[in-house]
Amino acid sequence: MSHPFRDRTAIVGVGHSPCSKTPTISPYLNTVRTLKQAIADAGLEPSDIDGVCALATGGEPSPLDMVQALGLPGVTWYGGGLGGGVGPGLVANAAMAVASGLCTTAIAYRTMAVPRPGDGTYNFFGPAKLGGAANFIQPYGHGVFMQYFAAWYQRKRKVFGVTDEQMGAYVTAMRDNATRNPHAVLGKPMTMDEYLACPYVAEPLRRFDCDMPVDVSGAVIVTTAERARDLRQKPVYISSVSTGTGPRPHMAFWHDYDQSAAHFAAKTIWKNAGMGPEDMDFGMIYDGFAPLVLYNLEEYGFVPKGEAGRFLGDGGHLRDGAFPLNPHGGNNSEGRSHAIGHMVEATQQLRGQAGARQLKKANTTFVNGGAIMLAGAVVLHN
Amino acid sequence: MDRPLPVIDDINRDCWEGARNNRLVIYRCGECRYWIHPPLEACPQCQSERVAGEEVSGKGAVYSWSVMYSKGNPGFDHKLPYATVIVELPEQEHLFTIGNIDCDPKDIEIGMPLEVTFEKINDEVTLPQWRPATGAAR
Repeated sequence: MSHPFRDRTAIVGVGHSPCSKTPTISPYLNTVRTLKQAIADAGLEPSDIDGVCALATGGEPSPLDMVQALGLPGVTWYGGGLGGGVGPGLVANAAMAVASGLCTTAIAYRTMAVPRPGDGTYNFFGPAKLGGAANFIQPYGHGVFMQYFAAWYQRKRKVFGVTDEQMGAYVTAMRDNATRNPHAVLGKPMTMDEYLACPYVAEPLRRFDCDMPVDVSGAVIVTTAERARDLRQKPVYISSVSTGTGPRPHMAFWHDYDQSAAHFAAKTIWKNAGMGPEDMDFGMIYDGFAPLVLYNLEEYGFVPKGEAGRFLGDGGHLRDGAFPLNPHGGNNSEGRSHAIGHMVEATQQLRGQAGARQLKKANTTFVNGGAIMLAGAVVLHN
Repeated sequence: MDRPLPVIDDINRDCWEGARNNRLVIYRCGECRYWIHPPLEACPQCQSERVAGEEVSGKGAVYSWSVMYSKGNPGFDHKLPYATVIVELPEQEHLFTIGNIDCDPKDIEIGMPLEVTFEKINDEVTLPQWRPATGAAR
């Protein structure tokens, strides 16, 4: 029997602001404009929205702010939170709310902003006064987020033999894809030599392995499959969603660096979708740190454990490869949007509206967010 | 800016009192004997609130590491580059602690045997640290 959630909801509208490495407009205004864009894309009016979903961190306006901004009399559902690695997790939340009748048409968004003067160092997560796990981390100079991931990546490299050239094959391909994406902030080609010459930020992690903070906003509108068929755009159906995390709340003290949160999100996604990884035409794989792609490809079953490095080295991820990844250039080239950019690109590809980026075969895709502590995934088809 | 120091409280006091006396102390459940690090007020395996510090062997092995090249950690910018190690303690599978290591980062390998050392910061705080095991009985 089909899973009761399968294909009950669809994405009917998307919005995506320009990306900028320097401050532009306020996160509030960026969000309002992007929500308007998504509502217009769907052929809806703001008054059709009765569900709102966002994480509301880092200066992002809250769902309550956006209820006011859209002039809504009120909504029957609002939500958000960290579940599902942000972008895809927010869409998963919206789809669950629509499927369960809490609302009819929900808008999910993620807005991020370059640090403004006085905002402090983006990457330092340390409080002024230590407490909890930080007591056992920061006295050792291990308090910058990328260090947590660098230690994961180091182990991945040593245990599974991942090479610089394999990760370079990923990053250079993203820069090539980004040449076709007007949103990308790093939209110029990169050679392997340039990648290999890139300095470390926290060895083995290179600067080019990291995405960068940008001003960006993305929005996705989800409604019922029935309603979607009457709207302007070709519906993009949501086959299944999943979220997951593991048994520890901290990336540095995670229970097992060889088993990320994606392992748990992967347990239900394919069974509920009625499809498998082999049925996906392309992958929208989260790459806030480029080596996260290794974990996501393996845990969701696209390649056997330990084989993701070889897959990249062989060019499987290229536009004309066996399983193209992130035709928009990923967060690695577009900028840090916590995978809401992946959701927008997935939708545009499945509608056939991706312009110069359009893949030849784009009827099914898999989008994920997070990887290490937080994981979420969405399976889509047209 | 100096490096941040631990705030000693009722949850973690045994660890820092131990370190002050050059003993590596990790919290452990008094009911099911599960080791807990960083310390928590209740055991994540059996939810018992009877948790207390116990001295461990002081041995460990490198589970992973990274070498920091970027500014951002208060008190560490002048030490760049430096290594931080994820140390797996032999008392329990995947019982991790974090520290700095007294060796050339180029010599670090996964599984490398380590032994604890102690770095006195002030009268209240001593930090457990790590060095390659000498092989001598401790």
